[in-house]
Amino acid sequence: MLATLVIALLVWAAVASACMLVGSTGHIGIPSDPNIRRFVLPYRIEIVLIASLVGAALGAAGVVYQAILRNPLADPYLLGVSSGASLLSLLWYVGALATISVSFQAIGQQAFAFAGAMLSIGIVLLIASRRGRIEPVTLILVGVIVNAVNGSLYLLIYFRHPELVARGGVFTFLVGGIQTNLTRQQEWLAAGCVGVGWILLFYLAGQLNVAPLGEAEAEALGVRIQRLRWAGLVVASVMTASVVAISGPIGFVGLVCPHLARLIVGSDQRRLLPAATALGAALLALADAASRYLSRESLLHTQMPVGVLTGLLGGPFFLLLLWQNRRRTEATP
Amino acid sequence: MTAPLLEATNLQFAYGDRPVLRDVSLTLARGEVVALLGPNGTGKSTLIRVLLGHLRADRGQVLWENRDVRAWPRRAFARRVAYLPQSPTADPDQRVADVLRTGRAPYWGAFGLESAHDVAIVSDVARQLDLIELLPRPMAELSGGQRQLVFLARCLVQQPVALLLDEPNTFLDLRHQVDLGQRLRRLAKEQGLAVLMASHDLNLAGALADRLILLDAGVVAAEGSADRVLDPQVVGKVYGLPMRRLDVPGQVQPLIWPDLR
Amino acid sequence: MLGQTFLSALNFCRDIPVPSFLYWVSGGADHSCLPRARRAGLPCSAAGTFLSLPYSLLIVCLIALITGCDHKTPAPPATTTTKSPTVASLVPSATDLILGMGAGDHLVAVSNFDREPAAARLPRVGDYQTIDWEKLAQLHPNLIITYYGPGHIPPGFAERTRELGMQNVNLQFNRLTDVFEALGTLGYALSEREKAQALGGRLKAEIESLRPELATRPSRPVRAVIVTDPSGLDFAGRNNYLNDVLETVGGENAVTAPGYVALDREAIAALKPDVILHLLPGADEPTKRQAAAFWDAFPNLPAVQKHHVYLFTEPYMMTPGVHIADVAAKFAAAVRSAEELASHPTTNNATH
Repeated sequence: MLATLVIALLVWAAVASACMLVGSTGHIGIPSDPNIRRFVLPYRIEIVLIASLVGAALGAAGVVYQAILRNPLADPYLLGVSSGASLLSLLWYVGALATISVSFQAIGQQAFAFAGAMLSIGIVLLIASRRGRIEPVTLILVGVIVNAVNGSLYLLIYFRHPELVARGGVFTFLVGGIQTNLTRQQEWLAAGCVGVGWILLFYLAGQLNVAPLGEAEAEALGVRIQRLRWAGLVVASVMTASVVAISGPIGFVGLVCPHLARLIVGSDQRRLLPAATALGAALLALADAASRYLSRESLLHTQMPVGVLTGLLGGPFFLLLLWQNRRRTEATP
Repeated sequence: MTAPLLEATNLQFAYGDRPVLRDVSLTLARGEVVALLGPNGTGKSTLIRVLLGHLRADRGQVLWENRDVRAWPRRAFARRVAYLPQSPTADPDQRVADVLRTGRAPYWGAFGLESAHDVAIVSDVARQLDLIELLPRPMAELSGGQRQLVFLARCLVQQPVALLLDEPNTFLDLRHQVDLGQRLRRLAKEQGLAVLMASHDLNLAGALADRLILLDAGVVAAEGSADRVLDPQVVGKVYGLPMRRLDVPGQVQPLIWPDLR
Repeated sequence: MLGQTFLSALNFCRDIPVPSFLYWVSGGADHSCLPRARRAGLPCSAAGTFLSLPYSLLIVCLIALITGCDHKTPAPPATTTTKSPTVASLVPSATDLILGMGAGDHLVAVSNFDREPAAARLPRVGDYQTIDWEKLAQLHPNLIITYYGPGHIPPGFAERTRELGMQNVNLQFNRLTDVFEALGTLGYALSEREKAQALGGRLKAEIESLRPELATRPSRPVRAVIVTDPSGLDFAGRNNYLNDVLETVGGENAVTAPGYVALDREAIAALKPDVILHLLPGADEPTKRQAAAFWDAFPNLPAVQKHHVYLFTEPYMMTPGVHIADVAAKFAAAVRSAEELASHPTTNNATH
């Protein structure tokens, strides 16, 4: 388990440092001019770290969601986190909230997104739980419904205020790129949430092994399953919310990284959690570097949101591993 | 016999307004194998879940080692009592070794840290049940009998003093049924394990268990040795079928069979 | 406009090569095994596969780097011609105005949405929400031009511009007057007041010349709709520069709601416009045909009956910039022709 942690950290460090060599001007490597290096590099390092942070949180949350919801298709957005964030970040521009947000400008859109995410997951948990008990199937159902309602509200506001969309900012919140206009304070807050949350999840990782089992079995193995479900979902959701606020919904990472990690380290959550975290961080950092590289002047000559590439990079990679894994299991009768 | 490990008295339980257990009392001591018999829907599974504290009895008391089952901390309880449900869940991709490891869950430290002792126990149990070969295989590749053995092994990895099984024979052929029963018996006699298992096979239970408890609509209809419980009159009344006893030369246990004539 | 943004997002996906280097990632046999796991007789495959992963990933990175190096482009050309103060414009309209007033030599970077040839050679550093700070730090302009709503400048943006010692010029382009105000602000910020004044004066004069004389005004103003989306369902309402232009040239917006609105077919039919101004900046032939077909489906609209459906495909049609007078001229011509026909309905029938 500790070995997995160390190896995962090393893998991420290797990928991240490689990503730091990719400049957004199409230049590969560290700029030679010391003056430029001093000015330019901090921004490059920052974006690699932020991408890693977002990917790590999504990977870890994905593991927990899949285990607790007992559903391999669960991803961190299933329970309304991202649709809530998108909705409130749109509301930031609109109506009475807009005047509030002007007076609270320092909090910014990110705070609205975070609040939206938490509100949404809160509503889902409130509706889905009965006398404090969470049932995975009910939860998924309620999550899907709340997502749909959020989506409809989003469309409603969008149709009432099409001029907002012309601003472009709203749209970014749909496609999912890593936001660049963040204050350092916002970044540290998100990092803090993710860091503390991750340690809590890692603390629970052993018990999470039991979460996919039947309720009675889990109890018989000494795990308070309801308490575990609440703790795991709340912590993973706070982590997701805090990165959704600084990135917008980035698909695929939270769904696929846990599966990727499972193919590599097996289904023991204690190894799965660090592995999926590192894979998420590495995949998103890599996708970000690739999108920066492809965005350079001689190619696309624009900025491509990283969300476009996560699927393009992660999809084939995942299918390849899946295919290899199947071939291996077929070879051994 | 020393003080019983489990002492349940006058248990009553209802799902809503549908009573399932009306008045059940039973004891379980270390080293004995007790079979819980009775027709479908008579409350065997419910009784086991009440005994485990997963369901709260409406009336009556469940004492494990003189302590109320609901007063036990979950982890501590899981170190004393293991449970094998009727159809245990398993991720088909999960390897046998990982399934066995989860049996150590009640012993893990913070962060789910595994001690060398935990690892040793897993391999000991695997060796004891001849599972070494299966350890690296995913659950999906196992036969029904092998699966059941793996789940039994997971229970043993908990190092319990009592083992509660809910119809462990459901998916097993005759050979594996006998095999499982004999293993349980050996565990009880050699390691002092207390075994309570719900079963449908009257004769097999009679042959392997020290004591039988026959439930009928939430009450104990008969209790005691196979000779006493497997009485055609009692069993016939419980199952609503004419029964008769077969006397087979050389067979110590009595056999009972529906009278189909 | 959303449609355009979406199309540009789709454009990203077009030229991306299939990552063939992925085939280098090996599944890996069990080379190694953690000793404790082996002692315990536990499976080793998991540990072994995992150990091979760092190498696989490293190979992926290396290949990505190698394939990248052969067509390495130099950093943006250090243009000797740039004039101080240097400017990064994140707003196409502002870029348009700067180029239009002849101050393009101040520009060092433009937005992702600048598609004009004059701006195309410049590095693109972002849009309203996504900004490539690394590139900006390298280009280090003195000014950065944005179009954030009042009170909606992201705090992080302010923090970073402060950090880089750049000044933020936040412009508005909602109303027609905003365009002239922006021009004034730009002239001041770029120390190019004369050029800005010259352009502003010219544009104002051109637009004023299109204002109808009171004497020739028809008894009933021409009712027009301004369509802002290829689908034909999005319209400019009141309180925006398109409406301002329309009113200046003597038309009346049939849509009375403020801002921009989406309408369904029934609502469109109820508007009964005399003239339809469909803005399709940069649209190709199929899009144009589709738009024409869309309006043919409303045979009861006066504008359709009298053939006053105008499809404008000029790229500047939705940019409140230097071509605003041209937009006004096109609106004016359309409104005039509708006016004429409105006053002589028989002429129209005679021609067809």
